[in-house]
Amino acid sequence: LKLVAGIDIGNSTTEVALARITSDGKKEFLGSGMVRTTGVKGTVANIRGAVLALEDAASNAGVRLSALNQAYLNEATPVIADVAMETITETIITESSMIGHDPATPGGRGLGVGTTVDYRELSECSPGQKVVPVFDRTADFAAAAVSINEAMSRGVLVEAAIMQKDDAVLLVNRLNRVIPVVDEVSRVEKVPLGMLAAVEVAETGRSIQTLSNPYGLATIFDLTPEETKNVVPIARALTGNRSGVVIRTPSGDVRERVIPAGSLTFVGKTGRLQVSVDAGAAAIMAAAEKAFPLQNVEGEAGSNVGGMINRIRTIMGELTGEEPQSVSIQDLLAVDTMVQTSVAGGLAGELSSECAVAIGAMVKTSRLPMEQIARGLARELGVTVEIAGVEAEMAVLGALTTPGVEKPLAVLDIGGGSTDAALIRKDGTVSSIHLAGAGDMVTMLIDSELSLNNRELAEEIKRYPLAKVESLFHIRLEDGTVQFFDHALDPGLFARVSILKDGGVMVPLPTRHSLEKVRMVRRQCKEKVFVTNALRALSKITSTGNIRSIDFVVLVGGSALDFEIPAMITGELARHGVVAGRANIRGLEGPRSAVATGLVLAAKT
Amino acid sequence: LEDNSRFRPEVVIYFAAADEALLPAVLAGLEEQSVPWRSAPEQGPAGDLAGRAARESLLNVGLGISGGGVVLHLAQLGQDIPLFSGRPDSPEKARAFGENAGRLVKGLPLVPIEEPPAGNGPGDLARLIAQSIARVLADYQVFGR
Repeated sequence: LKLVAGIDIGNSTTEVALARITSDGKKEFLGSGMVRTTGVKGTVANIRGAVLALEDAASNAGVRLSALNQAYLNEATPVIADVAMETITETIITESSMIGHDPATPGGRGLGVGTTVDYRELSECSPGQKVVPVFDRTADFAAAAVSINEAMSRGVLVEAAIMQKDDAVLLVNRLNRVIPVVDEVSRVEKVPLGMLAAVEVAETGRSIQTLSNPYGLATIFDLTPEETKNVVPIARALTGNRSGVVIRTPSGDVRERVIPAGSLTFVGKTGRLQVSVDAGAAAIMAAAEKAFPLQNVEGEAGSNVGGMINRIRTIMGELTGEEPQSVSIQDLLAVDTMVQTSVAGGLAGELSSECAVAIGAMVKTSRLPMEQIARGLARELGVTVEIAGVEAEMAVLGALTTPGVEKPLAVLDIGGGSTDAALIRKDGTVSSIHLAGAGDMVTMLIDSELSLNNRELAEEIKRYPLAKVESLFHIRLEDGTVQFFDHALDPGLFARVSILKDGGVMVPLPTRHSLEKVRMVRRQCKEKVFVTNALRALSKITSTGNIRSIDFVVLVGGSALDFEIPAMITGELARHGVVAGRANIRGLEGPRSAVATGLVLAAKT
Repeated sequence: LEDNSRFRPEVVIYFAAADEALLPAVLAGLEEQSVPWRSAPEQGPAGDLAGRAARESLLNVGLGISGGGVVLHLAQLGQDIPLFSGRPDSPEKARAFGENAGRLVKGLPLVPIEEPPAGNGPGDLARLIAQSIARVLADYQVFGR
């Protein structure tokens, strides 16, 4: 009778499967353990976590750890991945022409065109003059109304108003004639005076029509066809807003420029292939596909993407102790994304959507120092610790214990850094592959597309479903169901889109995005990375590139526990006639413990 | 002619005559949100006025102004647990009470009101402590970082 343990040290968790080997060589699984991996995977800092996971498994199995006879450690895949992003377009406003400002409560409605004047000079304006007074923080709405009414009664054509404070509705309610008023212009002092301005406010529930139309702008500002081409970014930035302001200054301009992002060179076995980054993710991936299998990827020196590739190399060099120049990138995933950036030269924190390319890269390092870990662990436990088998093969062995599967079977392990796949064919041969792009990349995409600038929050958006707090006593979950509370919720949660964490903890999002928008971004980011990489991995792992030749695909690892990723992948692979789903190791462990179980199963008795 | 104001969807504001100076700023907050209201002078502590106003409002939202304090109440809440209470020392702070009343009705996120609770008889200290604890809990768990 022997007590053995399989230990799988992963990037985020360390898992243990504990089994008894009976005298006739049968293996009986007794229990499993799991803890967070201590330290960076593949370093001696992992030993502490391994011991903790063993203790966890022993207590779950009801045995003493001192009874352990032998432990098996996986040959961890020496793969390190990193992600980066580069914006490839940029909107610049020169000389303050305001765009895209969208306050919550603008006042009045309609379109007003006139010359901007300081409100203190309203009394000096002459009859017939078309003006747009500008009110800074010092102006009181009641006094503002009096001064506008007075000017109007003198025949001054006050066509619209711009305000710094949130007073637009209050002002319009006190005017003798309704004019469009835009408020909450934070940097109102930068509004140029004496310039032609157009202010448009749409009725409740509508969006502005004239300022979001290039020809509307051309009509107001008397633009030439050439100039009309240049105002397209303004019109685009205002599309969908309830209000907007455009001011024309002599040399003022809004330009959308393409940042020279540089090019990537894929070094394959047979040659080199260069592709420009601003051609987009599809072109980059097509080039990567042509150059497969990759030997290395180079970025154009002096360009943005060159800097990005260098950063990835440097970080990976630090992790592996190699010179950055000698780090070679073996896979790359490029994804098109949008970045919300504040407009350079804007007046009220206006945002514009810029195109960006996110890139995940993966390097294989020299063998990780698993022997050191094994020796340290053996000392700690007083038993022999054997490095047994390649991670991919062990994962397949473990995955085969899922009820309802048979060879040929593929295992898909989408972790934080890389997407790993292994395939066992009918004849028992196993092959495996590692691709760039996984959970960390999804987090980065969510962070930038929702302009959160908060990786931890983006990570939580990725992991948990959303809810909208509809009253102080109930929330509506993203699937439409309603949950009631006995006690009033915190007023700070009221009407907010929140993340619904385990245990009912709600985290409100500090953004104005609707629940639908956040959900759509979350799901699209997951599809762009997880579904794309699932297909990429499975087609590469078959010798023919034909996913249909695989009968069964099981998902293991952390992402298999995600609340929506397995369903997305199941759905996509069903279209290829492949059965795919979350693993259920040994019929009870779910997607956990595949490698640890495989290690025990592979052990010689 | 019977007064049919009870059947109009309005935020109700009861104010002590001595505190009428606070009223315009509070009303400005409601007006900027374009939410209808009615106001009337009444007697009593701000918390009581707010609770009664909320229960009498078809929109379930009431404000009480008295003794230099402003209280925002929701009919569904217990009389002793108002949503916000404070002693605004500037028109901007008083306006935030009106703005939040409007935002409650419209279902929009509220703006922060950072004020010591208004005096409303005994139980103040307990409420102050409860609110402080709730705020700390909120800071650490609910709002994250």
